[in-house]
Amino acid sequence: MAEKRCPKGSRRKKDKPSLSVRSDFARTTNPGAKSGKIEPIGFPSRFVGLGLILASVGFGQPISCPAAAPSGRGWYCIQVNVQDGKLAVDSDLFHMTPTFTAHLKGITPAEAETAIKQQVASALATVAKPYQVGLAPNETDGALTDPLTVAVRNFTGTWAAYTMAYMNWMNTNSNRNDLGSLFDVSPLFTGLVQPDRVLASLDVDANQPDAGTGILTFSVLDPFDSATVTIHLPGMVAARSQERLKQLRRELQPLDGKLWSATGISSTLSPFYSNLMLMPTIMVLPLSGSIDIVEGARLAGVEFTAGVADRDIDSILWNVLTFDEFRIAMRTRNAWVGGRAVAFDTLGHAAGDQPYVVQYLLQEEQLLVSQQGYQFTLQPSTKVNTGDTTSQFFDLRVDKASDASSSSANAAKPKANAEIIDAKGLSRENGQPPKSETVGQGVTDSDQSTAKDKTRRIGLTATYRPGQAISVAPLFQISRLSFPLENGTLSAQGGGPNGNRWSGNYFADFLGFERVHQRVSLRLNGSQELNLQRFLNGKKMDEVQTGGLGNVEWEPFRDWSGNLLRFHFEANRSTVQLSTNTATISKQNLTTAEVGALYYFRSQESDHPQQTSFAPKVVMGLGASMSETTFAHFTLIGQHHRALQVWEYNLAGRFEQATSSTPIFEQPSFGGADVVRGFRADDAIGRRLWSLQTELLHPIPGLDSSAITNDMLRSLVRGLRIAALYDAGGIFDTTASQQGLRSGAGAGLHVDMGLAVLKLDWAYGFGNAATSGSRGKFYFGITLNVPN
Amino acid sequence: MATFTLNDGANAFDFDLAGNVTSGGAAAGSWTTNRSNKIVLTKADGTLTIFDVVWAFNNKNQLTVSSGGAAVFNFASVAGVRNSFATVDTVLQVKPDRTQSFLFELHGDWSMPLDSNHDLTFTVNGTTSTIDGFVSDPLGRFIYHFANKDDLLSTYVLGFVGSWQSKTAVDGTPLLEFHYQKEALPNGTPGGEGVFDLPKAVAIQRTTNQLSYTYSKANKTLSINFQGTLMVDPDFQITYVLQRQVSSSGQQMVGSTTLAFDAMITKPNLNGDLELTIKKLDGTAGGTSLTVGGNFTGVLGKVNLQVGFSFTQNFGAGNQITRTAAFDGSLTFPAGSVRWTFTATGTTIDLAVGTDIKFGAVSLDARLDAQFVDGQVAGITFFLGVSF
Repeated sequence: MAEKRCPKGSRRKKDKPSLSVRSDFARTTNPGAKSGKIEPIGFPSRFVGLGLILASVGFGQPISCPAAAPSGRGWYCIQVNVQDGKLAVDSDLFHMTPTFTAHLKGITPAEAETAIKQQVASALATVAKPYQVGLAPNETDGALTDPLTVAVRNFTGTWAAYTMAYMNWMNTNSNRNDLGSLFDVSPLFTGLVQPDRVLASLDVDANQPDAGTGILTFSVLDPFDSATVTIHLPGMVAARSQERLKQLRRELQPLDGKLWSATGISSTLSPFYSNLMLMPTIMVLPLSGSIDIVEGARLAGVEFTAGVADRDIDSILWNVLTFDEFRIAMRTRNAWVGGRAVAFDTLGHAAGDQPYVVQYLLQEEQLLVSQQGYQFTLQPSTKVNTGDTTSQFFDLRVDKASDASSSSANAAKPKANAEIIDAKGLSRENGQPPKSETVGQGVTDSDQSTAKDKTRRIGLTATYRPGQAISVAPLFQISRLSFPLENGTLSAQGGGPNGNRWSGNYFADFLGFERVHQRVSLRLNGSQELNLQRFLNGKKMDEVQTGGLGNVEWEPFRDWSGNLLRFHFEANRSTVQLSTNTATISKQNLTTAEVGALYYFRSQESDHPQQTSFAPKVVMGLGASMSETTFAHFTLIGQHHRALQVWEYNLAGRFEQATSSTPIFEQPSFGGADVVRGFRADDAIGRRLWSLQTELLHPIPGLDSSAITNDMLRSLVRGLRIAALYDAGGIFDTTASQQGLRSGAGAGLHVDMGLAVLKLDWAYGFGNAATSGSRGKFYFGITLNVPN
Repeated sequence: MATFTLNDGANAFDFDLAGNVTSGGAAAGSWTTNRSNKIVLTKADGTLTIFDVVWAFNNKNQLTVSSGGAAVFNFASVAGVRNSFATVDTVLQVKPDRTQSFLFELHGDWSMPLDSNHDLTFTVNGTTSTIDGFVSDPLGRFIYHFANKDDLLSTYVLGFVGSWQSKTAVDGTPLLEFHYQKEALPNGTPGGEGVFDLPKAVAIQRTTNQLSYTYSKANKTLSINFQGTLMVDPDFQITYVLQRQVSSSGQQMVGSTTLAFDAMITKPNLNGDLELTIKKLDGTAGGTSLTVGGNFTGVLGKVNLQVGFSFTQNFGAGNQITRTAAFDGSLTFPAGSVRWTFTATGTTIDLAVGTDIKFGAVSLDARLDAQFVDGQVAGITFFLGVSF
């Protein structure tokens, strides 16, 4: 704590201003200040004369503003006076180092000086009146009305005069604190030296508060420099921190050359961590010139309560672990299964490098596990994690989805996900391949749990298709049937006026999983689906498809470094009837076989996260009867989403090719939310179709969710995006409609809720449309952010 | 310029506060001190004259120098001149006139007697002075404050660089000691480590959940407020990872260390703050408790209960960390009561059936059917549907 040398130029007598200021000494901004003089700031004119007189008494000695600190930092030296009992800046001296001025960017030295002075003045305004801190232990401010107390309470004048008034006041009670011991970092200036001060550029040097002269000296941090700032990642193993530090420094570059700002640093890093789907604790410590970041809570392990059937443990892990973790867990199964808990530090993670708790991923896993009839909660881990003593560790505790009155953690109970089940018991959300319907496996009488098993669900789904109709369909589902296959689910759904009229669905998941450790599921379905007001052959007609199908799905891996692969085979036998309001146009049997796949990739811990999927499939008409034709219809759908710093974009492409003998109702249909917006489905029917959909998304400018206290509302507001969209596509070899290119442009409002996106779009179509009506169309839907 | 006089045989030399020496009114050289704390006069011709003196702070915290048993000079006695003191690697640097660049060094040993006065002693060449001041800092640095008792506005601070260590007294009092690096020996070898013991127990501030050392002296309540990360292990060991702290010039003053205290839970319920009693060295409960402000949370399973204790730490106005300490345990149901047993320690707490015992925002009723939501992943609430 070396005393800093007083530069010759910084000495002065207030009554005889004769300071010769070095060129790098910024002068007071007080209007009227003469060159090189330290002038009173903001001193009421009626007191100036008195101030000068008192100063000549009290400041007969030169004022010892420090020279540059040993570290080479600049400084800002103030002499206080007292205004209405509170400290205020009387005069000041600012010293910028050449380094400070050289490193400023986007802000002039004068602006920086002004900003710092304003910060000091503001901070000083928060300091208590000194006498309030000096009260004797048994005294209260409000009870004191004696003249000496009133004098210090309302004092206005120089520091020297105040010290005399204070001393007179102090001497009337021996238990009052002397001004010398008050005028220090503690207790009077404690608020100025907190490490997180928004007053980020400054701190009070412990050696500087000088009660004798009323001088405070603040060291001025050099402008922020992302390349040299100390960033601590206490919750991260060294092997990972180097890469993360590079990323963080890159993100912080826009702040280079600016004054330290805790708020600025936190808000700059916020989008970065938002893209990583982490919720870090960021502690900006300007005093130390450092930023401490605990990136998030971590998962210590997965625990299975007594309610989890032994046979389901592996399949649950399939859903909650990455593929690499899962393979290790299966190899080491004997070592942990007896304890019904597996720790991530035995699954390829070093201690302290366990996976983060990522709400978005947990929601997805929660959804999958809930379909198995289970739920999980995050419980603070009781395991000691020696690799990371800073982060909060949680265990993922899996329990049977059970009645609220007897289960733990009812808040996480899964909701019936009725919207993902269509008339065939399949999900066809947003034109995606069928969603796997993993439904609960067994809780049997052998389970020790007394919790009530929730095996029944009701739900509701609603769909709107422009130019057609809305569809509303209730769902009833029973899970965990043991016949004919283990872990079966039976569901029934019916509704209208459009869409599903009735359906019955049987689904069994994770067939033979204990042996193959790859997910295989079987689905059997019978249904009748109504597709109102299709536009085929130039006419509006209703399509009713009645029949059944069998579907087998095979998922060889899931989350293998973010990759997922899934195949499916489906056999379908149905009768398709086309009719108008007055007559049946046709009635045709249809026997098809469908083969398809889904490849899905999601980046991991990326500051520009992306998701990409490709879903090819071929539907083949088998010509099973004389009235049926053989045909083939190939579809390839690709989707890509990427989040940049603030902007996000979506790309979706579609290509369809059907053979010439393809029934018209099975031919590619142009228009709709998944093809080209601005058109309704069936605005052209043809045998070859392509489309490209683009969306550019941006948060709503000026909308700040941070002040919202309600979690749900804050989440909604945070996920709000405005979207500009442009779709284009072409259809060729058309049937009773015009071939060629068409496009649509519009805008939308999206709510990204992590697992799903609510979308409300409007688009105007450009080009020929087979149907009539407005060219501007609204689209509303829910898009899942998970492979389905 | 104020001076003091030392004699070398028949020659009298006048030493001023700017480091100059005169003899008979004529310039005689300059002065400083050497490693042995003797005054060294360097004459114009380069020859040295050594004066054996005694340095001490008097009972008014004023630095004095004496020679041959006679007082020579009180550095605080010059009207209008203020000294300054600073420590660099425990070497006391003295500026007789803080407005001048001249300084000299005193090499000695520092200590803090283990009593409630919190005085600092400084021993130079066997002469021990007591500095009557106080140690206090809002950031957990070891900064010693004192004042010239004849001029209470003349205050000084001495900063020491080192790190904090924890220890537990035999009676279970949680104590802190500050380990500082002594100056290197004249031969360049490290000078070893010195220790300042804080005599009173540390505590956890209820409002910030930061460690704090608070004491009273001369009608003043003084404290060292630390900044660090608090954790409570399943076996109730309290650990506190101190943040590194620097001076305003950016120099490290406190290194990051981990403080640890073994504790046990002795409170009869799981309500309110977490009160942990520090263990004596023999493992039994001592007489000092540390209280963490927060809320109990928990999840009631079939027969197992995990109790969590959630607490928030403040690091100034803008920085907060919320953590949850977790304790596994089990419930048994002796007649008429519910008994909770901590797995890690075997400690039991009897909870009366029928009495509402608050676990966070919900209550555990007689049927033990309460549910807790701490740490929960929110469901997808906009999906329509219910389970039954």
